[in-house]
Amino acid sequence: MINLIRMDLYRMVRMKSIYITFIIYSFIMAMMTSVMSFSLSFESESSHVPTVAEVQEAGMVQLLMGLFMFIFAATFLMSDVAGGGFVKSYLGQVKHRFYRIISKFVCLCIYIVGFFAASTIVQTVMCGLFLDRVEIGDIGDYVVLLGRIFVMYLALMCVILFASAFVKGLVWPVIVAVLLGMQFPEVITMLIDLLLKWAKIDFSVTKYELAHYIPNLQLGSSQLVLSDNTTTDVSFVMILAVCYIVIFTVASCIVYEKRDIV
Amino acid sequence: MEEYLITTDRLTKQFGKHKAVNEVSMHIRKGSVYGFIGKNGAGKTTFMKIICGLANKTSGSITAFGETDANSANYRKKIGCLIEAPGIFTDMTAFQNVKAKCLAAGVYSKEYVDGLLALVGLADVGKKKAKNFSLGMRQRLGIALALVGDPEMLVLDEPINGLDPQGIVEVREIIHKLATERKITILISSHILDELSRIATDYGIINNGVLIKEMTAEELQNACSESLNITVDDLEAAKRVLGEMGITSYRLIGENTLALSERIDESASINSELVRAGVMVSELSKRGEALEDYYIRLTGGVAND
Repeated sequence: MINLIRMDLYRMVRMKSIYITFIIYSFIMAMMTSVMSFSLSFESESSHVPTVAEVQEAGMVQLLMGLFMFIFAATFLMSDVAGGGFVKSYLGQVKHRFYRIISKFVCLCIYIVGFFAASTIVQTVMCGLFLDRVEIGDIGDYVVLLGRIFVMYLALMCVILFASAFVKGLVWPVIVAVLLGMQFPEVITMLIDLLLKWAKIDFSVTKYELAHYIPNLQLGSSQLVLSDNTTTDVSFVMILAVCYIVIFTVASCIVYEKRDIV
Repeated sequence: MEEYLITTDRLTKQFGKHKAVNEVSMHIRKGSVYGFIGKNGAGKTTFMKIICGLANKTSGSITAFGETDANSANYRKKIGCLIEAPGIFTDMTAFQNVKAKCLAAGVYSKEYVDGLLALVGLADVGKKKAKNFSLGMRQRLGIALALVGDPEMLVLDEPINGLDPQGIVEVREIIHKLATERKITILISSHILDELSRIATDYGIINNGVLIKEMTAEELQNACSESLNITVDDLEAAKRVLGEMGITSYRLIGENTLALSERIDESASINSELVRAGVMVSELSKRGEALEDYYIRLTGGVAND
């Protein structure tokens, strides 16, 4: 298992897409911070200059970060299946095939942490460059915020992991990644909710759809304020995310153990 | 008693109603190069995938390295494989590919990777990405990957398919070296029967998922080589006459039929000597077929049944 993780990490750092996605993300961050700086220049001197943590808190930043990370996750998960099919050369010799899933899961955790660290550095540099002020903000709140985003991103990556367990090509996992990053599942669940409402069934599927909570995480708050101004406990969202992680990871392991490698 | 490295017992793989592998009972001797012959869709790749642990069987059993299915992990790690196209990261170099596999197997050292690349003739490819390799180079890289961890057995699925003559020779030499110098047991499938006949010591012929024949290279040689078949009334007298003529290379293939494998172009004089000695010759015919013909006859026979 440890050996597989080593191999996957080696593969991960050798992938161009890990750098390309981060460079594009950094470029967009630079654009956003410069726009923020431009708008602040029209405000009074007393206006609040955002800290690094507050930039991270912005819904658009969380969405963008998620989108790029999900796309990379999909390409990474399929990198040994699509193309040459490297998976065939080692998986037969592994004790259990589901070790591959666990290895990918661990690598995704490391990737998220690495991305957060790199992203914090980039945001700090951008704040220094465009806002003339480098302040992280409340470290405790920032770490808690990143921790919550970590759990949610990981949960959604497990959905991509599950999708990748069924297919040979890269296309479908990337489509799933983009749809999750663009919060498309919420459209579906809202339609289902409308149908349920029409059928006079008092149940909300959207409540259990994780992606739409992403842009609403806030610093130092135990409540999420959603786009319709309703609130939800962060603890509920975290429990939901953990359920996603457990269900989709276990399901991926079962699928991979039972299916043939093609 | 033969020492088998792998035996399968009625191994079956079913996709819906179709049996891709149908009750195959195969016997692979330790140290042999087992040529696995069959047309496209015959079930070769599926069978090989099951052996390597890349596909699950529907029924039947495998015994390998003295271990049964229940402990398949113990024998799977001793089997390196190259199934269908070489499984490589095309955006990485040969060294990086082998290093990745070495990390997965827990055997990485630079010297080890260099040694494997030298063995398959890829020591000098430098930083060239695998996507820029020729098919022959990719196949050799695939073999290097299969060799990581020093497996006792290699499963090679069509390793010479699509290669140019030079590539075929290179891969053949590598396989020959592995079999003779490293004593690795090899299960190899190929469409190019003539090429297979140069390296295989044992054969299995599969058709429509059914293993229709297993034989050694010697048995196949006997089955395929040209012979003069003579059916006589007195076998002992015929043997005496042949001995007097200096013919010693023959075998008994029927109750009263001898198959001569020398001086087969002298059928007239042999017939004349036998008759002169009072031996009645009821049939005298020249037989022989190429490996391809033999294979087609076997598979066609099953298909027509």
